Amino acid sequence: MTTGDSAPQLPLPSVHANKNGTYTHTLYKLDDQGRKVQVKRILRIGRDMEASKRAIEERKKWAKFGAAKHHGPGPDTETTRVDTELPLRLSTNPQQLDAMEPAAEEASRKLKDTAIKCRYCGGPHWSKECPSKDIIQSLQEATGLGGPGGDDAPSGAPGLGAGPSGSGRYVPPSLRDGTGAPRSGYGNGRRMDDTYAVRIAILPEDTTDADLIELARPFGHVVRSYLAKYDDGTCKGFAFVNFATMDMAERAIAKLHGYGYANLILTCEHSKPREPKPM
Amino acid sequence: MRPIVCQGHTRPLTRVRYNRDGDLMFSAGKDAKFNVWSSATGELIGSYDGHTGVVWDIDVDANTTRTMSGSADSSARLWDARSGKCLYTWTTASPVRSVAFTPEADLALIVTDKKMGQPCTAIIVEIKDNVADIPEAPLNIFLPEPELTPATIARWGPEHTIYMGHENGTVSCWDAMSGERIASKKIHSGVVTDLQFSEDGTYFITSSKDMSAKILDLKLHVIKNFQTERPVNSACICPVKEHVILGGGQDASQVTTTTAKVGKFESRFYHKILQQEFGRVRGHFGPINTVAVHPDGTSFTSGGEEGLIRLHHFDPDYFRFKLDPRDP
Repeated sequence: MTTGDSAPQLPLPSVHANKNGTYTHTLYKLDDQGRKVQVKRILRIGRDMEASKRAIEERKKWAKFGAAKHHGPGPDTETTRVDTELPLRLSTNPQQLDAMEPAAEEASRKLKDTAIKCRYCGGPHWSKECPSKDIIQSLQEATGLGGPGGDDAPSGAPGLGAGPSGSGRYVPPSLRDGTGAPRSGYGNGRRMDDTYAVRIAILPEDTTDADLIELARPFGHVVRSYLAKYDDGTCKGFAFVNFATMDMAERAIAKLHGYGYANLILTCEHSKPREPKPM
Repeated sequence: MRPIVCQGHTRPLTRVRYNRDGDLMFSAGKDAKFNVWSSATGELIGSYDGHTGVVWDIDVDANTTRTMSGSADSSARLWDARSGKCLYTWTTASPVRSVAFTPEADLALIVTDKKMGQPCTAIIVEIKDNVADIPEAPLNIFLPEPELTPATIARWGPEHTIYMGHENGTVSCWDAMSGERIASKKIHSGVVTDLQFSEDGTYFITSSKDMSAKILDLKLHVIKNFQTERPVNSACICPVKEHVILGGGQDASQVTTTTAKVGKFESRFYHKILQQEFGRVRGHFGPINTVAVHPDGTSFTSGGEEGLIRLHHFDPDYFRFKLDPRDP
């Protein structure tokens, strides 16, 4: 064991990047007779992207475990929510980054003073403008439970699927428990102006809402999904999915357009978001 | 950009990291929880349950088959990544501060804290495919000298070397097999809080309470310095763009009379070559304790003192931004 000073006993290992993309690792050891020995290893450092993709696909099949054991597919409102739009403030002048803050503070101070509180997530915005309203609503429809997610003191939020315990609010018959699976996936009837919509078509007629979400989920956060159906539940062949960012939408289009799905070739392209027709 | 907030911890976060393929994000906290999330959607995939104390450090092997965690309950555990089952437990004499797999995942490093009358200790253990084959005795144990002060973080360098950051700001380099100290140097004037290697392993970034982060080469020469006015708790090197991300902050100094609903604590982006700050994103309600960047550079995650994880997928603006016109 060396003592005291920090001068190296042996030269430190070094890594040299070679012109052909490999790396030469050089290290020094003392052999049995105490002689200095130099060891060189040439490595190619990188990721096999094909193997990586296959591994990622495999892991999508993992069942949830531990604390997530009883969660269904997709994000659970108790653990995951999409926050309000927050910029990554970019500037070539660092002083500007400091100066950009007061405007945001002004806005949030105004909100604080009026004590607006969302019924769903407890955030400082009107309930109808809640960014997570879609997710929370669809989960409420599916499970028949009420209450906003992730909040200590729910301020009497409605359960749209009005369970037997009742929350005291009137629920129209079409939305009550027992009308089957949600008519669409997340987010019905809400403005989707700041999300990015794609239209997927040539879907098989036995596609369900869950299938659609499964198809779209790998590309990112699905804010809303709408599967067009006939009255008997048969898929009309097309659907709309809203993603949180353009990047996710682009990825979905790149992968799904021309994708072979149940013996059909899907199309997938950008689309203007539409309100789903009432069924 | 709309960050995804992952609420899976009831106490401060200690570490977040991505697996090598980038599809999973792991988090650990002072609530003894160790969780795994989808990095695309932020949904909780599972948790590795068993620790009874703060989980200080976590790692995942290159193939995402096993994970490892080190805790203040004086144990390090090996887990099956997919099922959450605990495969093996190493019991140590004092709290574990750092754990790390080698790239081949045939060995692992466990570093314990100077506590309960025990010295700071580095333990090298073997990992086997069949956990029944894991030998009881570690491959090697060595003690970093007391004058270096206890190690706060330790990571594998190339060729079974170990790089450590210490409480007094020293950074040291060790040969894992012989336990010999190869070199050490006083780099920071405060506690070293994080140490993360570049993707190719030829340099690394250290962060410190001395309000700076520095890039060092393998010979412990300081190549770059990133100066801030707040303690830096974590720093990572972006794999594609020439950027580094710093996370930190100090509770008292950032309290104002307006309790904003948008958290005031920020992750800060610096240009790796020009050493100049060019970007900030706020959102955390407490100091940021840990940052990690996706291996493809398409997202980053920060874990805060308030127990929240914020997962940010970059907008096109980020990829287009040039601090210098000559930037690619």
